[in-house]
Amino acid sequence: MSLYTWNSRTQFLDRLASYSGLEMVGWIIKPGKWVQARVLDSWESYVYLVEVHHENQILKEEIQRLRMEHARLSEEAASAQRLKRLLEFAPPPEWSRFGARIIAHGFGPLGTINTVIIDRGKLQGVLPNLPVVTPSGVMGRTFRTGLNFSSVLLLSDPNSRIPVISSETRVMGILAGQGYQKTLSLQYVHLNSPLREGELLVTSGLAGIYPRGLPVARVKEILRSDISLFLTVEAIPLVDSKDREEVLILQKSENIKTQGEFGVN
Amino acid sequence: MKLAFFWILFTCAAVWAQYFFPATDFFSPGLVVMLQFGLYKPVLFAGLVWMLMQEGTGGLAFGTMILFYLGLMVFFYIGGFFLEVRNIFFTMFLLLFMALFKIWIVSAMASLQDFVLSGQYSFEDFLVQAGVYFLVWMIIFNLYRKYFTNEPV
Repeated sequence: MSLYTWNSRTQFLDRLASYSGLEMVGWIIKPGKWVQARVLDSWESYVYLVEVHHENQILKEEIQRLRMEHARLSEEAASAQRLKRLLEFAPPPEWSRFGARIIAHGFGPLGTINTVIIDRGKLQGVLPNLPVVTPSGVMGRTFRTGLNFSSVLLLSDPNSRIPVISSETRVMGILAGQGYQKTLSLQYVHLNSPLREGELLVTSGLAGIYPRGLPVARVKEILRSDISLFLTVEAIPLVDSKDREEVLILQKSENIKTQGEFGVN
Repeated sequence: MKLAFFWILFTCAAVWAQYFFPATDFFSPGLVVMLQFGLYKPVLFAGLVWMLMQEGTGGLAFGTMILFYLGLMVFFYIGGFFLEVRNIFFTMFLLLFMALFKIWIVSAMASLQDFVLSGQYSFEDFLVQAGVYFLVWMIIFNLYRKYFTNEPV
């Protein structure tokens, strides 16, 4: 009991486990993943048509970059009119991004929450609660950080909550996970809200973890309940973590400690 | 040296097995085999390393694996008073208990920490975990007996 109380106050054992356990598992899995990636790269580069595949890869990267840019610009354009009316607003902090590779999903018997392990940790500047995104949208946030590896809490986890706003009707709500491979639930949307099915939900930036305007999910279904004061809204996440191998970690520029070789933009 | 290499190899294999089967424990049968063959020093060392690995990669605050391994030890020693510890029926009871105990302890610790579980603990998961425990135990037990004792397999 004393051990648990002491740990809950100091979190010493949590840090010890993250720094040692996460590292050991990461260093056992990483070489295998590296070999797997090299084998797949060789297969794709040499067995398929080299030129066409290479060009395809460049175009895919370009599409991903443009999709991110498009999402950001759309949100900026939509908010430009409103921002114009605000005379005194603090300029948003600059966000930079660096890449990480997913090395494991929901690892171990204690993987009770939906997490993935990525190959970037404290030594590369990763802190808890940094947004983790892909070109398609938000995937989650960093949860525990080891020295060279971190775990990421996915949107689909029931413990995940993100304040969002609909891109067209500007309806705000809290987007909560409902479990792996299930839809997300948009909570606290009042009955008279003009929210529409198919609308894009983007981060509102209110919690201070995510920058505003990142695409998160698309409204799938809106149901009116007779007994609740709020609408029941189901949304489909834009990112399926199952198919992802790489992610981007966003970081406020003032928080950057080590940019290293990860090409911060 | 050979023994250390054997358990390091087991650790690497278990990590990769857990990579392919999320939320499943592959380490505990190793502890059972160590206890069954009276390897008390390796139990402490391997238990500590495996505990750190499971705790470090899990989502809960530190402490779940301590209780889990303590439960395993208690059941093992209490059962050992009544049955031969290498007996297959005793081992089956122990592994079934562990599969059930794992679900209970993780759920209890998650609720104490106000975590909502994703609902991945169904009866099928219990059966899969029990099956994995038994399969891994059989492999490790027989390998250990073949390479480190003079007993016939």
